[in-house]
Amino acid sequence: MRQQATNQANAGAGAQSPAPAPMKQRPPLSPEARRRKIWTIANQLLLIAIAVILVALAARNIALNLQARGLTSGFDFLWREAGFKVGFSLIAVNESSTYGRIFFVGLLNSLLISALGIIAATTLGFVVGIAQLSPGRLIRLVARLYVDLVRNLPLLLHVLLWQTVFLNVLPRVQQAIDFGGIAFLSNRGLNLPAVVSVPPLATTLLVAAGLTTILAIGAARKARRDAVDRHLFVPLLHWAVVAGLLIVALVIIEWQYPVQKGFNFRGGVEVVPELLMLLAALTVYNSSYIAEIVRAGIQSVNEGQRQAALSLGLPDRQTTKLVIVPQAIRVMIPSLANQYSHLIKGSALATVIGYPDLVSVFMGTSLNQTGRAIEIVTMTAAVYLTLTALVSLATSISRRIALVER
Amino acid sequence: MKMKSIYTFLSITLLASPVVAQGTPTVDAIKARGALICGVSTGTSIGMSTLDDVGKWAGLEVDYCRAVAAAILGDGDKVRFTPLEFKNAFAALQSSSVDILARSATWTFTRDSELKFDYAGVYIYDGQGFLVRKDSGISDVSELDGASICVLGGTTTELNLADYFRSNGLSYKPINGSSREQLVANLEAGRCDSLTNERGGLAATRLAFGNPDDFVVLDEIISKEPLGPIVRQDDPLFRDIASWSLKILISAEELGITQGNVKDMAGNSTNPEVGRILGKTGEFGAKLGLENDWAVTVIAAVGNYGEIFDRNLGAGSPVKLERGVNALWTNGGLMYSPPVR
Repeated sequence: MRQQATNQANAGAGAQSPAPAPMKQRPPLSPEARRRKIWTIANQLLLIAIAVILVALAARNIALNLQARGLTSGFDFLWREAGFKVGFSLIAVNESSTYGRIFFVGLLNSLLISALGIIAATTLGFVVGIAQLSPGRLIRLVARLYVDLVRNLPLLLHVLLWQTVFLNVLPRVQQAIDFGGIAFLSNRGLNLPAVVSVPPLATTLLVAAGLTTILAIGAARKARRDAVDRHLFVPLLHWAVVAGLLIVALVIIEWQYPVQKGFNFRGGVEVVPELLMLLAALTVYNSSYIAEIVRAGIQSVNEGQRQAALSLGLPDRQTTKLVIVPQAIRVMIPSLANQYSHLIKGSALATVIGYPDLVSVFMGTSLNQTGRAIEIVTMTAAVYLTLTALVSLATSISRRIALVER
Repeated sequence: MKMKSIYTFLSITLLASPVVAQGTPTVDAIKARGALICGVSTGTSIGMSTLDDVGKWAGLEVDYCRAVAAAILGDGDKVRFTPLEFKNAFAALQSSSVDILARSATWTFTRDSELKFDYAGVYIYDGQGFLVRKDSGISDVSELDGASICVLGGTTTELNLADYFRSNGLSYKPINGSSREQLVANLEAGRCDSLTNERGGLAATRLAFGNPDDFVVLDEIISKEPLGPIVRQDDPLFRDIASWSLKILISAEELGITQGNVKDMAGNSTNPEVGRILGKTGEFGAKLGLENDWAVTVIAAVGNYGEIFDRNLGAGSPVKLERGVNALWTNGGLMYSPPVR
C-alpha cells in the first residue's frame, strides 16, 4: 500500500526529487554499479561545466554586442524618474516615482492577481471537480460540459471575452449600479468605501469579536460532539454576540464612501475592471484544469478506503471529507503546483487588456522609455523564475509534511 | 544520444561570435538581400501604414519605405514590411531585424542619443491631441480634470499626458492600452472619457468607431510630435540615403515634379535644379552610391510628398486631414528641403 502510494505521487511529480530512501543500511555496491555511479557523476560535472561556459559566453557576447552598437547598459536607470503614471497600484506612486518603484508597483500587481487567481481557481476547481463525481447524473453532466468547454479555449480568448463582457454588459459610470450608496459597480470598476480611521473602541470591539468567534467555534464543536439539543443554544448565543460586536464596530469606524463627481467616483477604494476581467479569465480557465486534477486525485484513492469507511458507518459526506479528500490531496499537490505555475505565468496576459502588471508597466512602458531591454527582460524573467521556484519549494515541503497513506 | 545533442548545441554556441559593425553594413545587407526590411505598425495605423484584405500595404509610411527601396534597389516593390507592436519596435531596430523604422515614433532627445538611433528627417509634424465623445460637451482640455484617459502604453504620448496634467494642476486616471483597437474599444464602451494620441492619428482613429460622427478631436495641442524614419547609427551612408529619399520627395513637390510627369521632366526640363535632381546633369546619385536617375525611380514609384500626403491622409483619403504645418514652406508650412547642388 505504502509503496503504491509513493509511486503514484512520484508519477505525478515528474521531475521532482524522489522520496527519501528508507532508513536501512545500504548493501555494498558491485564493481559494475560503482563504475556506473562514477560515470554518472562525471557526466553531471561535465554538464555543469558546459552550462557555466555557455552562460559566460552568452554574457560576453551580449557585452561585446552592446559595446559594438554603442549602447549603454547597467541598472542605474532604476533610480531615475519614470515620468508616467500607473492607473492601479497597491503602493503610492506618481509621475515623479523612479523606475525602481514602478518595478515594485508591477511586481505587487502581479502578485495580487496571481494570489487572487490561485484562491478563486482552486475554490471553483474543487467544487467542479467534486461535482464531476456526484451521484446525480445532471450535475455530473453539467460539470463535465463546463470542463470540456472551458479548458479547450485558449487563455487569451478567455481574457478578451471577459473584457468584452465587462465593458459592454456593465453600465457606464453615470448609470453605475448603486448598492445602497455604499458601493457602486460600473464598467469603470467596483467602488468600495475606504476606512479613514479606526477609533480605539472599534479596535477593542473587533478583538472581542475575534475572541468570541473562537469560543463560538469551540462551543459548536462541543455541541456537535455531545449531540444534545439544548447545547445548540450556547453557540447560537455566541454568534449573536459576535454579530452585535461587529455591527457596532462597523458603525464606529469612520468610513469614506465613494461619491460620483465629474467624470468618476471620488473617494473610497477603486477596484479597476481590468483586475476583475483578468481574475475572471484566470479563475475560469484554471478551474477547469484544477477540476480534472481533483477528480483524478479522488479517483486515485483505493475504492477499498471508501468501502471500509462506509462499513464503519460513516455517512457519505463524512467519508468524502474525512477519508477520501485527505488522501487525494497528497496525490493532487504536484499537479496543483504545476497549475499554479501556469496561472502565475498566464497572468502576464494582463498586458493585453491594460492591467498594470509587471510585464505591462515594467517590460512594456519602462522598457520602451529607457531602452534597457536586456536588464529589464532579465529582471522580469528572474521574478517569474523565483515565483515558480517558490511554488515548487512549497510543494516539496508540503509533500513532506502531508498525510502519509497507511 | 542525449549527450550527443548537448555537444552539438555546444559547438554551435561556441561558433557564434559577436557582430562588429563597420563600413556600410546596412546598405550592403539590403543589396545582398535584394529587399529593404521596413518596420511598420501592425497594419491598423490608418493613413500611415495599413494592411488590406489582399495583403497589400498602404499609407504614408509605407510609401516612404517604397521610396527608400526604389532609391537603393531601383524597385519600389522590393520592400518587406515587418509589422511591429510599438513596444517591440526599438528592440527590433537595435537587433537589426529591421533596417529602418517608419512607425510613427516621435523624434526625441533620448531616442536619438541614448538608444543610439538617428532620425532621417520628419515626414509628419504632429502634435498630441484629445478625442472625446461629442455628447460629453467637452470643448477644452482643461475640462478633462479628473477624467479617465485612454493612452497607448510606452509612447511619448503617455509621458506628455503626465507632464501636461501635472504642470497644469489637473488630475486624471491613465487607462493603458497596448493597441489602437483596444483604446477605441475602451472609449466606445465608456471605460475612459477621452483618448489621447497624435492628432493625425486621432483623425484616423475616429474612422475606426462604429459612428465616427459621435466623436470629435479637440483643437488644443499639448506637445510637439515630429514623426520620422529611424535608422541605427552604424551606417552613415544608409542614414544619408534614408534622409535624401525623403528630402527629394519634398523638393519634387516644390518643383512640380509628379508621378505622372517625372519621366517627361527628366528628359525635357530646362530647370537646372530639376536637371540635377533627376540626373540629367551632374553625378549626384553616385555620391550616395546610387544610380544617377535614382530620383526618377523614386518619384515614379510613389509620387512627390504632396501626392503621398493627399493619397493617404489628405483630401484624396477618408481621413481628410488638413495639410496645416505639413504644407510646403512656400505655403506657410514646415516642409523644407536643402538644395541639391
